[in-house]
Amino acid sequence: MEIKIFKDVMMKNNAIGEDNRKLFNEKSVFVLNLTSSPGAGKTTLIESTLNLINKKIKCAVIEGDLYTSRDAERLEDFNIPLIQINTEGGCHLDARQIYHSVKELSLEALDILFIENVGNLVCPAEYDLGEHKRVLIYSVTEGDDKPAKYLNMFQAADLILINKIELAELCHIDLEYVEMEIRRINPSAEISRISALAESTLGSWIQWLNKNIQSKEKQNESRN
Amino acid sequence: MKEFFLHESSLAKDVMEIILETIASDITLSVKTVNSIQFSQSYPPIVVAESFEFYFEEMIKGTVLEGAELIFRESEKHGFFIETIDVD
Repeated sequence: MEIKIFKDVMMKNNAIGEDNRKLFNEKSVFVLNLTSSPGAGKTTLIESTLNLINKKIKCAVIEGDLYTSRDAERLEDFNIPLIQINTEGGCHLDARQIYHSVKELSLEALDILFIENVGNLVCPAEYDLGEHKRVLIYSVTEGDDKPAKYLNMFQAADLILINKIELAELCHIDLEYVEMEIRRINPSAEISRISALAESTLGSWIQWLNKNIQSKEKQNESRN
Repeated sequence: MKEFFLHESSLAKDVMEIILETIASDITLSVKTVNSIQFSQSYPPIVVAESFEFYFEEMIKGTVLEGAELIFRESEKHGFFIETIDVD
């Protein structure tokens, strides 16, 4: 006998992700899911970003890592709310982990919550955490073939930051070609070239953050 | 050394729960064995079938799902879906 099920296996995660997003909207906090391959510069970008905005904008970070708290330790000096999730071998963060983690945060006191996902260009693509925007940090040292190889990750991103641009020439990377490849795979994604180590290159990234924070505040004001 | 868990591992657990909950929720069903499970997923695939089978077969030991054949087909709709199960 055949039994029809027709269920999306991701439905449990997606439902919790949607609940998370509702909570973030109620509290008017802008939430980012930062994804990349290992070593692409997620934590360095957070450090540089906090250097630039931490005094004006209330920030918190959730750090996803397989086993260690090394990334979180790098951010301790900023004295911001910081939560470490160790996935104990899991290749991605999921919505349930975020649901439990944010209970430890005073969301109403925040403007922005950075979620640093586990470094992986495959699995995080399929897991909605409840974020408002997904950011992919793609470093030129990874080569110019990654957009074509990791379609799901590049298609799922709202903003793609091409990082380590100071190394492009050394790595024989043509940045125009890289942007063309990204646009071929995800025409709607915004793209910015940065060097996470050079704060002078982060202007458009900071503008993008400010624009989204203000947009979230306006949405909340119009609801109230 | 700790094991690295691919997302196929957590999805295998979700699949098992969804099917067992479906079977348990219908009191008219008296399922003795699940012969096969049909999945569909978009391309590029969300799960690698061989990896999924590896975790799934471990998880379903001792349940009515043990021994079920797993059938995967490609679909245009984005996602990973349980379509049907064949039972006795």
